[in-house]
Amino acid sequence: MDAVALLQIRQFFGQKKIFLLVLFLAIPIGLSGLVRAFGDLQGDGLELGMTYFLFFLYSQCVVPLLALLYGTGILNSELEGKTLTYLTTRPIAKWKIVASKYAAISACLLGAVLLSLLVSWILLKASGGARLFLGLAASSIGATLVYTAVFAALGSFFQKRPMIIGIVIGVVEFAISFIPALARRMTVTHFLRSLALRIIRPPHLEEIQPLAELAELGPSIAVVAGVIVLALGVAAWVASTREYVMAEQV
Amino acid sequence: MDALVSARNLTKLYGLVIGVNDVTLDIPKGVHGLLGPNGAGKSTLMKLITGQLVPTEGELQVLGERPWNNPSLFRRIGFCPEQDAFYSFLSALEFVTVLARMSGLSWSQAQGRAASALERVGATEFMNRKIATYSKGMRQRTKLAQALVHDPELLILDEPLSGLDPVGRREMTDLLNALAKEGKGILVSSHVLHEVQVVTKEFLLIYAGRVLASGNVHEIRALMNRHPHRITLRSPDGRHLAQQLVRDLPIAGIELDEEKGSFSVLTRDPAGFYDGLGRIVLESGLRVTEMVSEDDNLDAVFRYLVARD
Amino acid sequence: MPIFELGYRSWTGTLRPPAARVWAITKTGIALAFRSKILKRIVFMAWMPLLYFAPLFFGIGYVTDPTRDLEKRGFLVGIAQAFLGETISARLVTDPESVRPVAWSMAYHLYYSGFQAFFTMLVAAIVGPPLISQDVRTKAFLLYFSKPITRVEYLLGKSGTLFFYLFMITLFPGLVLYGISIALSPNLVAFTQTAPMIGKIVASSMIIAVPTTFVVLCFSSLTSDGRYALMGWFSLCLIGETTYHLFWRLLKIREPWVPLFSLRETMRIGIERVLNVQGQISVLGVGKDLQRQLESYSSTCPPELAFGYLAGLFLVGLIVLWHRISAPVRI
Repeated sequence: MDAVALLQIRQFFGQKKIFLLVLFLAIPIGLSGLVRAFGDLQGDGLELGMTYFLFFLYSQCVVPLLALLYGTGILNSELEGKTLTYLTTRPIAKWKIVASKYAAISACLLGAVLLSLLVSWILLKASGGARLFLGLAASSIGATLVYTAVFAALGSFFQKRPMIIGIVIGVVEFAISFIPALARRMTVTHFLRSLALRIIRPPHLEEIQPLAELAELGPSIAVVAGVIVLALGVAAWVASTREYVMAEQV
Repeated sequence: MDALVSARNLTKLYGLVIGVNDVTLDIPKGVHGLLGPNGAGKSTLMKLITGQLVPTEGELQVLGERPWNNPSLFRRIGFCPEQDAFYSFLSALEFVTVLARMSGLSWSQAQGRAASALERVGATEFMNRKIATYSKGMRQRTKLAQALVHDPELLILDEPLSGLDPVGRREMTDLLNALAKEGKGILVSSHVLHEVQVVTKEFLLIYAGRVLASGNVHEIRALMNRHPHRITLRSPDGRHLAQQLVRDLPIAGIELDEEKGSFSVLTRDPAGFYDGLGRIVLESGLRVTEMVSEDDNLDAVFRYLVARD
Repeated sequence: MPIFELGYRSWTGTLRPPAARVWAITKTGIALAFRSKILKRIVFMAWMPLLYFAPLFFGIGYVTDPTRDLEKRGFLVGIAQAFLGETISARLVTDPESVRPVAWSMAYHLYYSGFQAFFTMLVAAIVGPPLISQDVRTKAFLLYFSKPITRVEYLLGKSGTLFFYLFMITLFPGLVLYGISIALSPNLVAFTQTAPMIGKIVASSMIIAVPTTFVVLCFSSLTSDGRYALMGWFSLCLIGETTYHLFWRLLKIREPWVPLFSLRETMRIGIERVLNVQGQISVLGVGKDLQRQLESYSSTCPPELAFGYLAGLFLVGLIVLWHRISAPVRI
């Protein structure tokens, strides 16, 4: 399994899509610079504003896009590159291949995302202190792990156009998470948001988001962890039971 | 029986497309060629054997175990796929080392065994360069090295000679012969018949998803009485010799080629013909300067087997 | 018996003009893209807003018909008040025909900057990314440029494919809607009053189609894997839109360049300028509801900046695209 993980890490840094990763993670840093230059970084509502700004930018925008790019390609990229044969004709169970690749991709993404988040937070004059950074880091970690797992499951089901399907699901889920009804509790976004806001508890939060509508910290972590396990389980099960047919076979 | 591969009514369908059609076979230990034209089902059969596809119907066993979803079997199997695909950012040594590691070797063993496998296939000179810079032949050798690195009992090679120059082909066939002598089971698929004949005389002939024939090529040919054997002879006194042969031997037909100064006989009893030929030549004093059996080979066998009436 | 020569004979006809080669590339691209079931469904859905807008235009025509008794215009006047506001609706009594151009402009503004902007993003995402990236991946470049096809013809052919589908959801339904609206109007005065709308529909469609086409093709030319081009396009749309809303609504940063983050908003500003919604509203008078209406159409970003940005996107996309397809073919 470690050989698969190390190979995945080599692929992660050896492929051209690393440029996309760098670009995606540089965008929030650049935007934070613009906010520092043109925004009002003082005042009462600063911490609340920074919380939502960095939360939406990272956990709802950049991280899901990166997870979509890498998660859907866990086995699909091997299939398209026709290198999957080398992995499936080794004495390694297919579910272990999926798990190892997921672990490697998640670890690489987490490191990159947290580094970018740290730089952005520093650029914004470390608003809100360590608690704000911790809350955003927790939600970014959760977002990275859960979205990568969900899109890995999506990629294992849909070999054609998983990205478009993933984007539609992501946009719909995001929209539903704002509906003040039971439906929002069926979205991962709601629990990631609850996780961040419960840890940070910025001043004036109640003015725009009643605390009662947020999930508690424990259940938020449990739901996110549960979705990760479920999605990975689905991805592993599909990988184990599915035949991967190279284009020229059909 | 200790068969390498054993199949019973094995069928594989891709939707409505037949990949392999009701195949029953036992491949004993040794070296075997799997032959057929493009689209015959060779790759499908290979992928069933290597557990990449699951049979639609029937049973398949490789080294006594089912290959589908049976990763532990791959400690004993080495597979060299047909497709020209690699992790191009790695060198051959890194590539084979990581695959050796995946095969269960420790890190310390893996690199050493990888270097040995690459040396065996003649890839030492370029093994530290990135695969993206390799020629087709270099990539082919790298593929073979990854199949050999964990010292498997059974090697399954899908078009291993593809892309190699004549020298490379000779080196590869020498390697395959050496591996066969070591007692490894080898299943080689190809559509280049004469090259595989150098490696083995045991074949499976596959066409349109069905196994047409299996066994030694000469035995197969001998059984094909519907198609007379064609034997071409050259003699300074061809006409006289031809007359004598027609009179005394079991001959189904004869053709003269005056331009080349030769003639061809068609016979359903090649053994009887060869026996009688020697006697006639001695008794008559006529000379035979050249004799060629044109279709006692795989190409002819295959052509006859797939020809429609 | 005569022996007939059945071997190869040279063709002695006349070669068709370059435009035919461009059309051959475009037609092939259209046919290939049309195999996608998702695309067919999206194009079908992109025409569905006509079901909403056609009755709306009928209602506008009905309430702005001066020959009809105001009382008989009944509940439609109420709907018009909800759509147009009190001040404008009051004009329906004194000068109903003057309201028609304003109402049409507002309706088309909603049509293009709301519904069709969303469908544009989807259609461009499905059709655009594989157009050039697939040629790179499959080395079809070698086939194209072994024929007497210039780089310009190749570029025109490929962009023609995307233009076709974008016009399928912007220009063609816009013109059909215009035709339906004229047909549902009480008399031909509607046509004489709104004839310039045809040019505005074309201009609005071009504002959407031109930068979109060249940005997407630029992404497509940068990679041999269409998925990355797709990611680039979606990221530009989603990250840009999110950034715009974060800056504008959350952080209240209202610099003129902030709307430029959102491609949709930038196009909206350009479309609004073409349709001149604010200018037409202002002519009708003053009032608090009018002020609110004007604010909903206005932006801190001047239209010139928006047009300049869109032109810049077009030029940068074109330059990168040209550079990529002119590069020596790498095998």
